[in-house]
Amino acid sequence: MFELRSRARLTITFAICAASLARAFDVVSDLRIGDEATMLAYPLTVIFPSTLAVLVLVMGPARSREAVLMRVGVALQLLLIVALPAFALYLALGMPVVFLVVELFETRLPPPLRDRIAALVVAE
Amino acid sequence: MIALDLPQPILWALRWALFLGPLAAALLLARRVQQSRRHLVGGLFSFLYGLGTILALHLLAIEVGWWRYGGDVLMIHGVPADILIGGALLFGPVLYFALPNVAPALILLPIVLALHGTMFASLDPLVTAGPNWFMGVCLVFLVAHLPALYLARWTATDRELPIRAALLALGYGVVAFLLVPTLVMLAMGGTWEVGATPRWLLGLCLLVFGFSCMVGLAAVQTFVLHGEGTPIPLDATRRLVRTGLYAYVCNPMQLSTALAWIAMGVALANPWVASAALMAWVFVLGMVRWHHRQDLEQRFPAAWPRYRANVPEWLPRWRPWIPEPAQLGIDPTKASHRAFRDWLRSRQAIGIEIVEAQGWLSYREPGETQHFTGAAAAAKALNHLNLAAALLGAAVLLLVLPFQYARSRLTGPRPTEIRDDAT
Repeated sequence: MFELRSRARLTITFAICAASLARAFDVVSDLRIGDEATMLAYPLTVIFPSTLAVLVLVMGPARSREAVLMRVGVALQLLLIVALPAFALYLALGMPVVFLVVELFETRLPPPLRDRIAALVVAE
Repeated sequence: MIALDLPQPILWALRWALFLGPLAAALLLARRVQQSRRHLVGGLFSFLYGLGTILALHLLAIEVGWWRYGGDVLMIHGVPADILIGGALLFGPVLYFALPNVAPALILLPIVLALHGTMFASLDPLVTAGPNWFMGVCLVFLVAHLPALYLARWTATDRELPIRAALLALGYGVVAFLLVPTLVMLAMGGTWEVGATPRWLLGLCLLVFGFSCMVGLAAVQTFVLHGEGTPIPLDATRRLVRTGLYAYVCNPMQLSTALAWIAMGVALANPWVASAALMAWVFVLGMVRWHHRQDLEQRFPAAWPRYRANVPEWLPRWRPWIPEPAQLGIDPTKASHRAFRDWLRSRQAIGIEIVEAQGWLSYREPGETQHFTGAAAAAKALNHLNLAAALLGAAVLLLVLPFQYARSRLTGPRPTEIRDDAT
């Protein structure tokens, strides 16, 4: 069985929390100038992807390394969606690319390099 | 009706609550049922079904003036995306997880009467009710919420496979061909306007779109009949499906979705919508192949590699790949049966053994529990000729089998007998 390394999990979770906090500051500054749009959008554009990312990160062990890498890819894509609101829709529509990247990583990269990179985030 | 005059901050809080409330409830309730995977899958399916159908019906409601939403934040053609997702969560997984053993109609009726009946017209400017809004609410409950709850229930208990596959196909169709193109156009520009497209081209696109839908639906039907499961891996087939259109191409569903997006892109003169077909290809490369390796290759270690070695992923074969012959039962006393048999032989049908039987034309594949009779048997036999005949057969099956299914539910299956004396 394969699972995400705690360090990788904590790093991505911290990054998501930081991005969510930064977006919360945006909400406050926009409300000060009377613009409530970012506040109304906050649940869907920040809380929702952040929650999904955390759920993906806390999932249990998987049968394959590829599955864990896909979870990491999805969590990183969700982090980008939170952190880059101007590109959020494009990033959401491009989600299948994450799976392609993982597939190419697993099937095309030279095994020594692939294993070394994967070992940074996946533990067996 | 309660005439509420809610201040702006309360309306903001209400909009947050309409999304975060169902999200939190779904997560908490999912923890309660996490021991039962099928319950979770049922909840997920109900959400996916609701997402597409609620959007479609709310767009219809806005179009005919039943109601409209205020504000301009996160709007998908006038429908707030957060309220859409919140609604799909609430009237899908949340209600199902909370009340798994209560009949969906009994859950929804009080909500329609008590909640919508009293409050819906009082939430201006969040939502402004127009004439006949209650009729619209009833339609949304009948077409979106009620089937979503039944889908969850039937998935959890593994019942009513044909109906739940049909609901999943409908839900998928709305998401793929309404929600995704709408989001693509929101991101990249474009409208649903087709006025500038020449009529002949629009007609051609409609034809290709209809053909693609037929191929996709036929593939779903084949999964139900021969795989005893749905196309979604979370509710996977029990057997490897190698018959029907799957005897010609590995991914008929993804192929049909890609074709439909191209047709839509041409009709809308929008290259971005057409390029969504690339995403179907990316999805197959990234996700489907992984699923094949992780699931099908493990469950069918001999049959799957053999199938993949003979059937291409995207470009269909002209003649089918059929590893074990099927059996077609004909009544030699009937001229139409004899003519059909002779025609199949003259067209060099492959992988089919013709046996004598009495009564209806009948068709059975080796190791299968499904047994086809009459027009369905003839349509199945067409699959043994070539791709064009198989497509015709698939179209016939889409019309005939739901009718036979409905009849069997009412009167019981038609008796058929096959004798094993081959001609």
